[in-house]
Amino acid sequence: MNFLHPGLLAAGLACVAIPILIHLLMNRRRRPVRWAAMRFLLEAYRRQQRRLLIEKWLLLATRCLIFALLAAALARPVVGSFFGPVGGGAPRTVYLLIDNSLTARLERGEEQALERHKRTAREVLTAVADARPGTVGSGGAARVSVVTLASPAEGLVTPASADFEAVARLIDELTSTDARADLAGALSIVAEQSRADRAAAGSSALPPPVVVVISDLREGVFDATDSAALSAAMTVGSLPVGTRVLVSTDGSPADAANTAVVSVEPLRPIFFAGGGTSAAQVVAQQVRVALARSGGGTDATTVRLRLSAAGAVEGDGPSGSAVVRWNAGQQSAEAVVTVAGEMTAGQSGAVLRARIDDDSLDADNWFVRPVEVRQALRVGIVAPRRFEARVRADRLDASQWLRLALTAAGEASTSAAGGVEVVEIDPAAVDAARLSALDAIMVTRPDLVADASWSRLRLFVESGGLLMVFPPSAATTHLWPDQLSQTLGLPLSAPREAVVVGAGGGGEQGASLRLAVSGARGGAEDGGGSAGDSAGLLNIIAGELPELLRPVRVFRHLPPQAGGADLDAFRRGVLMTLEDGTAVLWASAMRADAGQAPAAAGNGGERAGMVIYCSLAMDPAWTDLPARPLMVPLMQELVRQGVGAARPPTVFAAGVFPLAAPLPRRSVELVQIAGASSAGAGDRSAGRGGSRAGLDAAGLGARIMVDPLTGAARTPMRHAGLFRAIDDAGAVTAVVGVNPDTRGSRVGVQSEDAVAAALARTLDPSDGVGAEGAGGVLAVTFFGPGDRAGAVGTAERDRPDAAAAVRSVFGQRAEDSALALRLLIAALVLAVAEVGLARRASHASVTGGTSETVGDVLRGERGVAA
Amino acid sequence: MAETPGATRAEGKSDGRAETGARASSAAAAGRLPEADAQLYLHPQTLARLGSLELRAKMIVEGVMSGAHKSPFQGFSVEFAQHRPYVPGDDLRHLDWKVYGRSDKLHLKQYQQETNLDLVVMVDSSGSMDFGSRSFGEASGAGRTASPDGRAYWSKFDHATAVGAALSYMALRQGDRVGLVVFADEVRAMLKRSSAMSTWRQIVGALSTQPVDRPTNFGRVVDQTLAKLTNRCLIALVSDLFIDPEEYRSALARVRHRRHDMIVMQVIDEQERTLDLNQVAPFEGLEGEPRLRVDPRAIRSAYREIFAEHLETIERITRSLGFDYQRVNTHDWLGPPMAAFMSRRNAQIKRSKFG
Repeated sequence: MNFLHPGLLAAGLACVAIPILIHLLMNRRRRPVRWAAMRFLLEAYRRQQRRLLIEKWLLLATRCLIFALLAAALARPVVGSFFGPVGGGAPRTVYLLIDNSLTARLERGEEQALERHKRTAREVLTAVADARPGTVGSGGAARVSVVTLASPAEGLVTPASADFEAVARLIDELTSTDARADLAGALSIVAEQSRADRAAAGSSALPPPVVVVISDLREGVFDATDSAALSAAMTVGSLPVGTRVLVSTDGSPADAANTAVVSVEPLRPIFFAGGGTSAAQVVAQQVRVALARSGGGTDATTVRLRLSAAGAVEGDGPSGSAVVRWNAGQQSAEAVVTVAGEMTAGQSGAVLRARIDDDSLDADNWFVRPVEVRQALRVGIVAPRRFEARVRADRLDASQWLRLALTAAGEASTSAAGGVEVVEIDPAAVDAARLSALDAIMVTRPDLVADASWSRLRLFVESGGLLMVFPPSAATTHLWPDQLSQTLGLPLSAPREAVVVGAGGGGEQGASLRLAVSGARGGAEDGGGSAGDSAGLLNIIAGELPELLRPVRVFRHLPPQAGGADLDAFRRGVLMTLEDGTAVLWASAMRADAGQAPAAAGNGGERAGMVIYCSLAMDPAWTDLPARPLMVPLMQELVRQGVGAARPPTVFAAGVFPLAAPLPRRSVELVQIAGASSAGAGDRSAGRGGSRAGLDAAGLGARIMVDPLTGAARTPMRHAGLFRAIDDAGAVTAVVGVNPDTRGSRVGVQSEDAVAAALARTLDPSDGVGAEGAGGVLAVTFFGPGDRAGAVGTAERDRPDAAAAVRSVFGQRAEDSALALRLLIAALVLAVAEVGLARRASHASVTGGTSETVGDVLRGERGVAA
Repeated sequence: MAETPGATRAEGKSDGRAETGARASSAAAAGRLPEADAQLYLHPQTLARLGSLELRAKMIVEGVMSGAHKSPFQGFSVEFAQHRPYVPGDDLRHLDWKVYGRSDKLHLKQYQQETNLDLVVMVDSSGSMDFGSRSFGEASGAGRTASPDGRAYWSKFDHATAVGAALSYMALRQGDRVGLVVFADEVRAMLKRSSAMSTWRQIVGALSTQPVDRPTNFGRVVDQTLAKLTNRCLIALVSDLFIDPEEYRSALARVRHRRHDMIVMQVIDEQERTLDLNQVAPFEGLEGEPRLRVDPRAIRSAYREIFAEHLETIERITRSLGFDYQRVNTHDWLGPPMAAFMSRRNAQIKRSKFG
């Protein structure tokens, strides 16, 4: 049993000493009474001795008990809840999980959901402080820990604190973010902290924690239909046995409809500028924009989409717009917008800004993507140089075929389609200086590349370059694939000798090519996040590829094979095969070392660099591809798309540790050059202007340190914005865009029943609420204002407020009062009994006063005389 | 003559007891014996009341008629009682020749002899007698608020002194001889029997100067007293009788055996009868009993019951041996109960003789 006012209890218990003191004072030395009939007094005492003794101690015990009961009643006893130890004195920890993720920006009236959450948190805090149980001598008070849900979940107040005022101040300073909710991370923090508390306490008698989730738990926060995902995301076991989960949700949620800009993907990752005047360059690029709808508004409607490409800091640039029509029930849409116009000459980068009309959640109505603007790509071909001026077509070697293919539109073309500059590099002269100026390298004589050169090629790839490798036709034994796969860490191997295709058949010599299954699918569905993102390389020419592939014949090749055990990774990289399924073209995006990547990087942010392996030597003895129409578009697309795909990512979702720049281009910090959109009116007007969609000047200049080992920011970025990566020399290495995580902006309302069941399934291994000893969640209680009438699958019900919900855990106040009242009544009954008992024990009665008065007087006189 | 009170007081001091009576202490402080003053103990009204009373013995006592007072049976001083057969050795002068003449048998004529009374007053001076809850001035009626030894309360011994003085006064006024025995654990003072009126002052003087501090040994005292009595006497015992009833019965049986008559005057104080105290205090006995700390209210009922039972036992024992018993309360005036007792006793004696 605990007490709300332990001080009163201590004072009351001290008052128990009063009757004891009186008892002792009664035994103080008094003037003796001389008595003649002592023998009769002794005899009477002997007869009554036992009764007197009993009455004496009974009276003393009754009086002490009266004081003790009064003290207990005044101290407001609190009976320990059924799942907590009673009177153990150990502090109970209340974890406040406050949702400050994207959906917390949802407004009702003029108030954001986050403000409501903060108000609820303060109410809970007050209720906990009010119902805080205390125990005499042990100081067992409740403590509060605050964890924010915005990804990655962060312990704002961990370990728990008993300074409620400070906690309230921290809660007041909470701001909403653009990140999704990380409920699993928050629960992991709770589980880990609980485990640490128990370890520190040194006993398992610590009361189980109370987890108060203050969130509307819309679909973006926690998908009740996929509780397994939440369970799998829990990094630290389950919650302690008997954990009580209180969930504060909006009792009458607004039927919000939200449209979010999910992604902005230019068809070509690198913009090519050409034409125009000396002051401005003409840009015309197609950009694919993905939109998603959530919430109640799924009727047919239209959304206006504006897109602009301008400098990272200032200046107007090419723009475009489109109207997206939504059919009823449609939840995702895609639009391809052409961005055309002039932009300032000489700029190496631009930022694509997409913006749609305002809706219930403005934060995800925009998207920024930094893009690279180039006039031409520089491709190096590693092959021995030939000094013949004019060579016949049948005597052209592989490097010459490739040069022809890449420069078919004219070397260093100034057209909007962009050109390619080709640089020949001798295999013996592969040095870092040469490589640093190139976007892609084609190696036609890998057998001549030295070991050191392979290492330089690896650095080139890791810094975001594209490496294409072709087998040499001149070699009969191919040992270089081993060096390739070992140096670059590719799941690849190749036979020592070339394989003759169709040699055993009696029909037409050779075999035709066909597109691999993964290549046909394209990379849009994958989101470009897996190893198979190389599949998007041929998306633009995918429609014409079957016709272009048909005439190509292959006579021999050095087929790539899966090296090691990672067969899936190999299969995902296959772009093109022979008819028999043997891989011909294989591509793989490089991955950063898993040990160096930040744990929460995600978002496909590890990608930098790409390797493409072609099993065909550009030699008529191997294939007639160089002479076929496929050659030019194939090589052009591989180079253009490959260079873009090899570039390090520049777009991240809020809540991750963004990669500032790939190694070895080390960045030391990220400087914010444009802030995230807030819900302010000024920002809305800027958004309607279109040029600065979704970005404002808030937070400009903020600097985030970058981990030099991983190249990722040291702190997660929960707010969207545009950042410039700076190296230690102050040079800009990259521009990074952080966008709202639209996975967390789904505003659909979930029924409380489904949420409760999913939470219980997720957090309780026994798969049942209330199961004893099985661990995990004991009960899920919803509280908050209003009734969730009309919510899906949820009947109208009475919802306790925050104080009542907390009292349900810490002991009902009404029960406390009843207990205190019962103690008070017991004390009064005992007091009445004490009066009777004292009267009986003392045998006091009204007697005539004459003799007594005379006797008293005389006794005093006699005493003087004695 | 009795041994001096001073010697007795010296004995009391040499006894080594820690608690000595207030009387002895005050007397020692004064450096001389308090002056005996009979007027302090016998109120004039009491004396006036006793003037018309006479003290008679129930049985025939031996003695010589020497008193000058008139007998109520004057003229029948030698009174016939009965005949009995003659046995050899009898005095032939007592033969009833008339009976012999009529019946030819020898019978002696026996007479009931009227004689004077020897009264022995035995007063208890044990420690328990030094208790009282009545003011001395109010009980004495002599105009003094304190006793000669400085006490402000009227103790049971004071009351016993008054009773003894009253009985002595009555006897002496009848011309009877009166003696005094003051006792506690032994006979502490004794006055020889005398019919001189000055004896009364001697008795009062002896009592008023007697220390009251010792425990009681009643059986021993009775034996010592009986050894001194050669003829049958009327013994007036004045005591609170806080003694063992069996010891008391045994002692009285010996008195009865020696054919003495006895009047038992039990002196009690009103407060010790009622235990009318309301504060917890340590009680200490006057005869060396252990100290007891008790709430008197808690044991009052049991105490009263035991006390009353003891009084009844004493009275029953006394009456069962044919002696008279009278309970005397220190808070009552001595005259009325004394007069009532004497009247009742004399009436009984008359009935036994002539009825």
